[in-house]
Amino acid sequence: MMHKFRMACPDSVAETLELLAGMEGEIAYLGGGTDLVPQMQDGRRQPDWVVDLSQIPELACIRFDGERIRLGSTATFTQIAGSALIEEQGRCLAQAAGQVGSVQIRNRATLGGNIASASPAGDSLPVLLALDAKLTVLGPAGERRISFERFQIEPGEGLRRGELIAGIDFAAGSRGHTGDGRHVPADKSDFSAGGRHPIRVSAFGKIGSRQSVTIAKLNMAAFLEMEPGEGIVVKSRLALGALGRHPFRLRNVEEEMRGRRLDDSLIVDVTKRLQEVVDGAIPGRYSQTYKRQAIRGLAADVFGDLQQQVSVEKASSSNGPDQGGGKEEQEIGC
Amino acid sequence: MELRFTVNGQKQVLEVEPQARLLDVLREQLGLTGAKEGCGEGECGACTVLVDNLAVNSCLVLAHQARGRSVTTVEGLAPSGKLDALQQAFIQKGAIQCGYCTPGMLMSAKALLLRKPKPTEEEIRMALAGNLCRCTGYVNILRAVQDAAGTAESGEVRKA
Ligand SMILES: Cc1cc2nc3c(=O)[nH]c(=O)nc-3n(C[C@H](O)[C@H](O)[C@H](O)COP(=O)(O)OP(=O)(O)OC[C@H]3O[C@@H](n4cnc5c(N)ncnc54)[C@H](O)[C@@H]3O)c2cc1C
Ligand code: FES
Ligand code: FES
Repeated sequence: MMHKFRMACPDSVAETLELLAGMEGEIAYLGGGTDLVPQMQDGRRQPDWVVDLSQIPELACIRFDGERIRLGSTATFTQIAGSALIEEQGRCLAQAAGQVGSVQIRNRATLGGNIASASPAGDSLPVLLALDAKLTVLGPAGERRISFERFQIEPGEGLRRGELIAGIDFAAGSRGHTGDGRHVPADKSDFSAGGRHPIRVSAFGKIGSRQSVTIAKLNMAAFLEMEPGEGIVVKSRLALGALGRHPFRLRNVEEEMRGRRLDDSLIVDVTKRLQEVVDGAIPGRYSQTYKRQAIRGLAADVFGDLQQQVSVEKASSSNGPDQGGGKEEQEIGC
Repeated sequence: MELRFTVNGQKQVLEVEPQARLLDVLREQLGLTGAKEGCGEGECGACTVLVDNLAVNSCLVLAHQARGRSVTTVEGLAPSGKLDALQQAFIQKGAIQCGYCTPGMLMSAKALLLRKPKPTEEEIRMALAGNLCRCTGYVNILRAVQDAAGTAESGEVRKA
């Protein structure tokens, strides 16, 4: 049986912020409840107020604003995994969403809840690092924007009392153009290959104790941007999870990938470096032997997936830009 | 706190404590004891019901989160006493032993068939991955869902 608490069920963000003023004691926001409800049930969490965000339409949207992909914090993993927009523009996020828990969990669990829970194995977290995502946080003191990476590691930058995660956004374009045929302008400094789009691909992989419905023992997300001619890596972001208190970027490895082609020798080198990272992160831990083997399989999956995407991209870009035919770009909620 | 929602097609207006879970209200206030509590933490699926036709673990949902929503429990599969095709197939294919997992299995399968009337075997496995059964070994459950969907093949079902 849960402790007694008071509950608020606002219909809008404005109403939520108004209600805050009258709340004393500990406030817990409620998304899907897949973490918070069992924690309250066994007494691990005992907030004075529970504020349900699950029926606020403006927090549940998934959309493209012409530049960035924007998700409301209560978008569920079912919605994210099923979104053609996310599949097209941030594929690693769709892949991670589709591997969270079971159907029942994905139907409730939200991206905002995954971020706020900050489990070392949270599947969206390495993805948000790989996509260099930003958060919009709202609270009694107004709005602040912060990169997910700083939010995660910098003391004092996490959620403060009464603050909620309103939205998550990242630069559009795992593919350099949008599904509806609109051109996503590339960052000039990254790309100057005579008007052709850079190739941007991303992938997520996870290893757990069984194939589905499993908490990650290791998870990894990778984003690569390549110039379209020779397929040289111009920018990359690589993040590993379930190895420490929170997932982290591998900036040294990213640096080593720059200027190289995404071929098997690159993958061999990256895999070696990843094993060293595992050794350094959990030296002597009983799980070290397992994880340093497991990471080879994980690297093969993730980089194999990236290679596959790049070859599809190359084939389609030589036929001119994809006009996005076939897939529907649904925008959810807003 | 007042809770208004629809359960198995009927509008309900109830006085519900904030800390009640959807599972508690269904079982204790509405007497719908089909949904079971196995683990109470989202692992077993015995408490699975549909909210707006999506399968959820009712042990992880606060009852007030169902405000304005439409909930379907296993009792709602046979409102007039006539069994749903899935229920009939479960009986015929020997997909029920102790029966504890059955209401949850049925609701996960129902959610799948509402969305995808002719699922592949892989889709059935994925849809039922959040439902544990310690008796049947799953094969007969798979067969039953295929049977209800009319996709049963003559060949052997891959061992779980
Ligand atoms: C059986 C099972 C399997 C699971 N499998 C996985 C898995 O494979 N991968 C994985 O990553 N996770 C998994 N989880 C964990 C969980 O489902 C996720 O962390 C989920 O994303 C949490 O989201 P939620 O909306 O349910 O959060 P809630 O339980 O509603 O909230 C979790 C925490 O976040 C806070 N919060 C929620 N929303 C906000 C917001 N918008 N702003 C500020 N704070 C907020 C709450 O106050 C609470 O502290 C699993 C859980 C279960 C029970
Ligand atoms: S009782 Fe809800 S999942 Fe086990
Ligand atoms: S029939 Fe006994 S748990 Fe499934």
